[in-house]
Amino acid sequence: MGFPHAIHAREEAVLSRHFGDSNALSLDGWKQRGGYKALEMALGMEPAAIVNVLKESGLRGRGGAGFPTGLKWSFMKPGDGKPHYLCCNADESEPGTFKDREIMRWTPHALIEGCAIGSYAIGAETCFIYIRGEFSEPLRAVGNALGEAYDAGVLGANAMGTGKTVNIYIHKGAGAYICGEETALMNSIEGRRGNPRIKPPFPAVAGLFGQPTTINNVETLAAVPQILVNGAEWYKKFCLSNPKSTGTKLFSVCGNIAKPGNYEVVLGFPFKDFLYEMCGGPLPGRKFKAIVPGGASVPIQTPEEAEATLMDYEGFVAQGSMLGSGGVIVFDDSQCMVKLIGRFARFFAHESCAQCTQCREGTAWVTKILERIEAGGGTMQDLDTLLELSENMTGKTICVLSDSCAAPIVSGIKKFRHEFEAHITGKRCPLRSRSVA
Amino acid sequence: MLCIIRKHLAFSHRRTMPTLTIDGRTTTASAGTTILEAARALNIDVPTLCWYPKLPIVGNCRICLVSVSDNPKLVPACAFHVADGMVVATESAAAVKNRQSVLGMLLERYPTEEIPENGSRNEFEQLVRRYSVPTTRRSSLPPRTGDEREGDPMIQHDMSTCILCTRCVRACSDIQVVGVLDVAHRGEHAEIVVGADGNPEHAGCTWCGECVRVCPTGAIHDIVPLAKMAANVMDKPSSKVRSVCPYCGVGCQIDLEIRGNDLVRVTSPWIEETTPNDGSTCVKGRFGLDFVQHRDRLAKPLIRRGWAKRDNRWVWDPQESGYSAEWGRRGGPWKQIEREGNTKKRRPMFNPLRPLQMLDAPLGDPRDRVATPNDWYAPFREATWDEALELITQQLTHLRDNQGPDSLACFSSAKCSNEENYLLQRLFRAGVGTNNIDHCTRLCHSSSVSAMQRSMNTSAASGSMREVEHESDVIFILGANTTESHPVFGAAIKRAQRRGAKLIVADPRRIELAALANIHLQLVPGTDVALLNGLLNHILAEGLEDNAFIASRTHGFQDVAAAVKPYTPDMAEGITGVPAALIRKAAELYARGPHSSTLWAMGLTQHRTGTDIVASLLNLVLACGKIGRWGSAMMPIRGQNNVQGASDCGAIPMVYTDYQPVTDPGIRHMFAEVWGVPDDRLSLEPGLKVTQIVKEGSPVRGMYIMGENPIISDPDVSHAEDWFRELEFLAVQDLFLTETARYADVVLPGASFAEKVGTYVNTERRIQLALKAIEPPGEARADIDILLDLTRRMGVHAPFTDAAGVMLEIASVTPSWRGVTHERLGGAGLQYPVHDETHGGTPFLFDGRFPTSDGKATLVPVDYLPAAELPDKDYPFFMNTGRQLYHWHTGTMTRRSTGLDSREPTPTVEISMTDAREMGIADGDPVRITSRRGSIEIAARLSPRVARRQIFVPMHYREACANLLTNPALDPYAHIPEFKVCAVRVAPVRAHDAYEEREELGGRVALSAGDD
Ligand SMILES: Cc1cc2nc3c(=O)[nH]c(=O)nc-3n(C[C@H](O)[C@H](O)[C@H](O)COP(=O)(O)O)c2cc1C
Ligand code: SF4
Repeated sequence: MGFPHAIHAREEAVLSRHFGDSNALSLDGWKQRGGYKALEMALGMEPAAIVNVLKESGLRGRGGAGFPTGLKWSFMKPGDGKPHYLCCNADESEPGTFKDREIMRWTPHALIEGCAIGSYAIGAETCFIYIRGEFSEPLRAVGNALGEAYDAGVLGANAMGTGKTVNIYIHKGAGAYICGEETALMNSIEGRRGNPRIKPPFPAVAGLFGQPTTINNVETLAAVPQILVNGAEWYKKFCLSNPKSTGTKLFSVCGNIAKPGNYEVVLGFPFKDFLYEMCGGPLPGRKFKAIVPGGASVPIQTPEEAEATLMDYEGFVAQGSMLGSGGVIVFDDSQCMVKLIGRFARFFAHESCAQCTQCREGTAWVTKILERIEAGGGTMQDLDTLLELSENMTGKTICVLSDSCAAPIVSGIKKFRHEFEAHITGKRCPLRSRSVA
Repeated sequence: MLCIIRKHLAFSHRRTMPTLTIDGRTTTASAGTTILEAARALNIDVPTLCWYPKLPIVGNCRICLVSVSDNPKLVPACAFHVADGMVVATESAAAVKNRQSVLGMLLERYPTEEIPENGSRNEFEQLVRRYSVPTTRRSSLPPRTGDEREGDPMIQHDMSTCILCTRCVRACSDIQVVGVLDVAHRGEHAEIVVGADGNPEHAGCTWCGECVRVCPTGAIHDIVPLAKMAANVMDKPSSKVRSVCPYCGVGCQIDLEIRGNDLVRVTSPWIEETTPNDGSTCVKGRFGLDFVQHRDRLAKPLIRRGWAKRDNRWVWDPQESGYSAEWGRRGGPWKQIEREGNTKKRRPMFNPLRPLQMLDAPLGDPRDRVATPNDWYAPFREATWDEALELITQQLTHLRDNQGPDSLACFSSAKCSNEENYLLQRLFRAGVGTNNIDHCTRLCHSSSVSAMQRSMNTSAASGSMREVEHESDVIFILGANTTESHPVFGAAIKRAQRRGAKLIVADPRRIELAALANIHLQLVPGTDVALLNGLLNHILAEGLEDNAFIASRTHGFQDVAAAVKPYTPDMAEGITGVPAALIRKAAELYARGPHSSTLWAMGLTQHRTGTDIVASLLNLVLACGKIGRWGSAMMPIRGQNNVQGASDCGAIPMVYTDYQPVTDPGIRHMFAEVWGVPDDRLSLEPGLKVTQIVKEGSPVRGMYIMGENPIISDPDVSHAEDWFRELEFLAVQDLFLTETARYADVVLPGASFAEKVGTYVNTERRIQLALKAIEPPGEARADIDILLDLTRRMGVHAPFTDAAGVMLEIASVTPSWRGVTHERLGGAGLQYPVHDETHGGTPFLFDGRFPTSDGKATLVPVDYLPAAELPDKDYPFFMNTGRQLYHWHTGTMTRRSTGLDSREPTPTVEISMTDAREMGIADGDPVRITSRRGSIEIAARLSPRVARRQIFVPMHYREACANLLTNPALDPYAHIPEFKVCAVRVAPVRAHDAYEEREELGGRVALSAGDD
């Protein structure tokens, strides 16, 4: 894990301001940087008031689905006599996404503070941070920070001396992408197989241990303290395009691009400037061929589409894809699309929890076909089969992993059909001799 | 006002009862109903694979997706709730397309070549046909895999046909609450696994076969050992007959599948039918019925050689050919049980407990090990029915006329139907004139009955199993190992605990339920009264008793309150070894309920203080008012499938049917009239009980035994065996030449439950009808026929031709069965009392009053008395006896069942790890157990379930017969023997020790050192 790049002039570093600043890791360091003011403030507020600030701010979930956070919190009814839970989804395993990792590595107290505020706001005394098992450094950072917070009385039965109870536990994942799905994550915490559950009931009604539960992404929760101290109006102003998309968002950039890394921009930022100006454009002598803007689960964009995109929830949809988790994967003209799509499919086939017929069988089947086409053994019929399977895999399963597997395939065949056909007619990969990946 | 109410009702109706349209049909369903449930109510068949009634809904197969108005996506009918105004299309184009795709995808990894052309073999293939999915494969995906159960004698896997619907996983974990099966791995590698290492034994499998029942493809299937079936013929029995499992008192309904005259498979009723078992079974019910077709079945009557017919009379003539003087009047060329118990057995070639015993294990075909030995047949010759019945009639008449009616006795059978029990007691009361009629209830719940009679004039459970499962908040189980002895009920209790009920278990052993329980009261054997008095003491001290109930519904509370005064929890701790804190906790939990059920079995009753123990429990029940409400059941869990019915039908010495006393001349008159005999033919003297009959100095000289095997089941067997040898006449009616039958003069081959029509009463007073599935072997006859024939030969009028006719007479003389007829017993049967032809039965009793003269129950003060024989220096261990999961009583049936016997082929004694270590005993080592009465050799099973200095010996094995050791001390009221406690010593068997042991036993066992 590298060291973060210097903040670019056009970035808006709200969450990433202290990335790379190892003094921000400790409780004292964090407090010097304004930490835990928000929590102190929150614990003095009515939970409903906090939820209102969040609603007002327009913050939307950064885990992929973009659900308004304030609204999600408002589904919880503090004082209904049941135990409530907050889960923080830190299982970040989406290929191409590595922003939560950086938040946990550099600003663990931001996350803990966000979790504590969130717990209090939804009437939960217990919060679980479910951290991806492979994340050894973030696990250590959050673990240390948590220890400090408890020792300093920030958390526990008398959080910050207010008499309110906030307990936070770390649950370490065991290497399954699917456990990032919210209900699979709850099953996993409960000690069950990490299978997503059928919804409804939604977690706010019956979540962890069957009790009302809210689940949020790391980035979502880390933004909460900032919103609380600076106010909803302040946050709402971060908006360059659609008023439904407010705030700053971290994008993880990787692939065939000059300056990969995490960049924080105001939502609505032009994707073209982002790619070419901030991230330095393609590698010397190369051209962009395809961009996956939101992690491996979203449809693939052509460079034309990408360049026309404004980076917010609506903007990516308007250009044939989705914001997803903000994992931007860039491919240049040296890459074989069939191979890449096959790799994505293989990932989903491997990670399918295998409950749903369409997902279990479909992901394995499309992977077989894609690998066959890539190896030169495909037929034109295979393309129809792929599209037929993808259609049957979309919108019919318990969670959207199956859809996620289909999305790159459908968009890939639509937008790069010639490459598939070249493999089939030439009975080999036209790029094989030059292929790098 | 009225209109407001109406409006309110209409409103709430609209709110709680959405109206929706499914496939063009409008219907109303209550809120929370799923689309699937609503569709099923309209007989609309939405296809499902992973869904199964009563299993948790997981919605993973995705085949039931349907189109719903305003929803762009298809929704799962199994999980999606109905809403007002919803319009559902179950066969929309999108839904059908999705189904075809799901089925097509599943077929990719399915052995499509095995699907019959244009036909189907199972649920899944039916759907493939229904949606016309081509069965040609398009991908190169490998066939599905999963853990196989190679060599398993009962359950087989063929995982190539698995479609991963996970029904088996949920059935295992949610119905049977065992959790052997699971899905392992992910993606295309996902598969069903058996435990962590593929070994069902390690995973705690109980071989119940619930997975077999729910599997939609036959990937998990069963084999009936006598008719191994390939997967492709599995579903083709020629007919199916509803029956009742012949094992325990749960009374599971089962379906016998027949081909020709063969019982090829046992299946269970559909889960949504009302059956006491909700269609589940345990291993015995599903896989343990091959004894019916065992080659040892008697097919012809047998007469002991030496009997000859001279001048129209049967005479005993030792000169008769074939008789050997060596055997004595009643013996044969076999070893007595006592000698079997002392025989030095060959040390097993390998540890008999591990690894798992499978069919091809070196033990060979288990049927050879447990079959009737050939030499047992030696003293007999085959006879005609006429000869056999003539001899019996002559001898019964002879003894009756010369030595008086009370020189004769009969043992009826808890394994036989109500009709048969009724006929046998009718024969002995009307034909012989004696009340010497009893059966094995004496050895199981007689003390419960005497205590319940005394306290509330009742003889059966007050409630139902389903109220325990669904309604009880606290379940208090004493001395009942339900998960092994009544496994289907045991599973229901585990489900109740999952639902949130609290479990209190009192048992000296840490049995499965004890380990699961919220509180385990692990008491010293035989100290139950001290424990129960201690519980009541604390309840009274805390003021947790139900004063209103005590005042309005009971007598005698003050006496009991005084009697339990000294039994403080601390004092009880001193006697029982249960920490006082636990006693207090349990007492509070039980008394606070609010709905507490009380369940008990042999662990309480089989003591010389059995009646006192049950009485002290009833005091607790009554003082807390935990009876007479739905959810607060008082339930002695009945052992045999018809032990309740046999007693109800008068097969006990003191009473006619319905517990009407034989001493009452008015009642006698009624029976005499119905039976067509003069009043004075029926004795007013209560008869002798099992334990009084089989006893030195008893007046009984001749016996008729129907379906019981007292030589293994009576305490202190060696004396019992000697007693039977001395009888003047013995006739036995049974399926096999049992240990008892081999001493008979005449053996009559009866019919098994599958070969006759009859009714049986389960532990919740439910009378159920079992139908005839196959013909009995050879000349064997239905027991009703035999008894009717004999009745007529004894000169008693018997105006019936079949069981239904007998039931009419039973109903006419049995007030609480008045409304029972065979016609009304279809389906779930009837729980008596059934007052008349229109009465629907009684799920629970004592709502408002007890059936006593003033409607009140009586509390009876009791004091603790220790067991008759306690461990001492010479005999330092407590010995406990009882049942195992895979075997049944004297093993007559289960040891002849291939599957069951292969699970427990060897007699074993449970001994604590610590004791074993101290004595240098390893798992599987032979040990010798010696009491003051006898000695057996048996393999050790190191078990965490038994406490130190306690051992547990199963009762099923003649080669290590627990009852050679048990103490015949009797309860003074019920005459039940103290099977549960005696003092023994335990020693590892090494060559010279074994020799010395035998020496020590003195003259009673004369074995040569080389005896094998
Ligand atoms: C297959 C799958 C994997 C997911 N993995 C993650 C993940 O690793 N991290 C995450 O925050 N959300 C993940 N999500 C999204 C979560 O289900 C959920 O929407 C999110 O945690 C909600 O938080 P938010 O409202 O703050 O975005 C995943 C969803 C699916 C379907
Ligand atoms: S879609 Fe795939 S990953 Fe999601 S629940 Fe179904 S099988 Fe599991």
